[in-house]
Amino acid sequence: MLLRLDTQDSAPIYLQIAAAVRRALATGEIGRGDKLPPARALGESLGVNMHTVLRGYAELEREGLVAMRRGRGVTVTADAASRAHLADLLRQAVAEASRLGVDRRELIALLTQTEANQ
Amino acid sequence: MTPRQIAVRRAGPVLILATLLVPSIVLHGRMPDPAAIHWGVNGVPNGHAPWWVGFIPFTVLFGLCAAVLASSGKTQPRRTAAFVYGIGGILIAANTVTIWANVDRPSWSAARHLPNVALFTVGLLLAGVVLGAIGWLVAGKDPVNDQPQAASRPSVGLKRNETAVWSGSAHNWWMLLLMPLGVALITAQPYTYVAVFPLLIALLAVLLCRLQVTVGPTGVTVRYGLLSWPSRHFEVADITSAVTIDDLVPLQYGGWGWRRRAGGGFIVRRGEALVLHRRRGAQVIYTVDGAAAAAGLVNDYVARQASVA
Repeated sequence: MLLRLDTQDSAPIYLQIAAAVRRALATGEIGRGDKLPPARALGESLGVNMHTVLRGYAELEREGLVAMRRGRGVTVTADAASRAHLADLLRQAVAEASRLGVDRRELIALLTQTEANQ
Repeated sequence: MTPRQIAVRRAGPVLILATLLVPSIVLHGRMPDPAAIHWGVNGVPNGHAPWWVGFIPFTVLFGLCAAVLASSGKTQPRRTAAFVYGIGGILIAANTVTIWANVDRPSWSAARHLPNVALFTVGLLLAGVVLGAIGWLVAGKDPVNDQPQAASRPSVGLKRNETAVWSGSAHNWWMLLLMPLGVALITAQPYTYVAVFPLLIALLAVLLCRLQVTVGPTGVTVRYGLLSWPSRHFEVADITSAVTIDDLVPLQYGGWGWRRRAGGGFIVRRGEALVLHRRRGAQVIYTVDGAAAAAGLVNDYVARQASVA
C-alpha cells in the first residue's frame, strides 16, 4: 500500500500518518481487511519513532477505522472506507464551526436539526 | 571485467588450490599412512585416515567455492572474492597444521599434539579473515553500472511537496509445511546428533514463508521471514532504477530463498517481483505483491535525488 504525506503539513507526525491512512482509505488504495504497515517498518522508513506511528494508528482505532490486535497487526475495519469520508467531512465541519465561533452545544443542536430535517 | 578482476577470480583460487595440493603431494612420503586427521579437545590426535583423505575433501570443497567465484559474473565480485579467499585461508591453515603434525612421525597416534586447541581454532579463523581481507583488497571496487535509459519507468507521480511510503509483502505459507516434514524425516534416522537438521529446516521454514518490502525516503528495506529479521537496506543513492517482473518463476532462478541468480535477492513465491538496478553490483530481485507501485515510488525517489544533486 502507498501512503502519501504532505511535507508542508505542520501537524504532528502521528496525525499526518493518520491523515495519510484516511486519504488512502478515501481513494480506495486501502480496503477492508488490509493490514497497515508494521509500525517499526513505517517508522524506520520515515525516520520517526515506532511509537509515533502507533500513536497515529491508535488515533485511527479511536475513530473506528482500524482494529489493533496483538500479533495480528493493524487491520482496516469493514466500515472504514465509508467512515473515512464521513470522518473527513465532520472534521471539516468542526474546523469551520470553530472558525465561525460556533460552540459545541450549538454545533450539536445544528447536527440534530439537520438530521431531523433529512 | 578488467584484467585485474579476471586475475582475482581465476588466478587467486588456483594459487590457493596449489598451496593445498602441492605440500601434501610432495611431503606425503614422509607422513605415516594412515595419517592423523582429527585431534581431541586436549590436543591429542584421535582420528586417522589414509593420507589423501586429509586433503582431497578440502581441495574439492575449495574447488567448488572457486568455481562459484569464477561463475559469479557481475554479481558482487568483491564480496564473493573475499568469501572464497577466506574459505581458502581456513583450509590452507588446517591443511598446514595437519601436514606439520604428521610429517616425519612413525604413526598417526604419534603425530604431534596440538599445543593449544583454542589457539588453533582462533588461528584458523584468523587465517580466513586475513586471506579474505586480501581477496577483498585485490578484487577492487565493483564495476559501476551506467544509468539505464529504460523505455518505460513506472512512477507513482510523487509530487514535489509529498513524501510517501510503500509497504508490501509476499507470502508462501506452504513453506511452513517444511517443519513437520523435516521433523518426520529426521525421526526416521537412527543417529541422535542429526537432530540439528530439523532445527535448520525449521529455520528455513520461518525464513522462507514471508518477505516484507518497504520503500521510503531513506531507500528500500527488505525484511526476511516470519520474524521480519534479518533485513537488508538499499540507499536511494545506490539505485539507478526499478522495474517489475510480472511472473517470476522460482525454478528459473534456482529455487526459493536467497538466490545468486536474482543478484542476491530473495524469492518466496511465483508471481510479481520488484527489480532494483544498482549503481554498484548487479540488479537485485525481490518477490512482492504490488511490485508496480513499489517500483514507481523507487523511481520517483531516484529522480528526486537526481534533481537535487
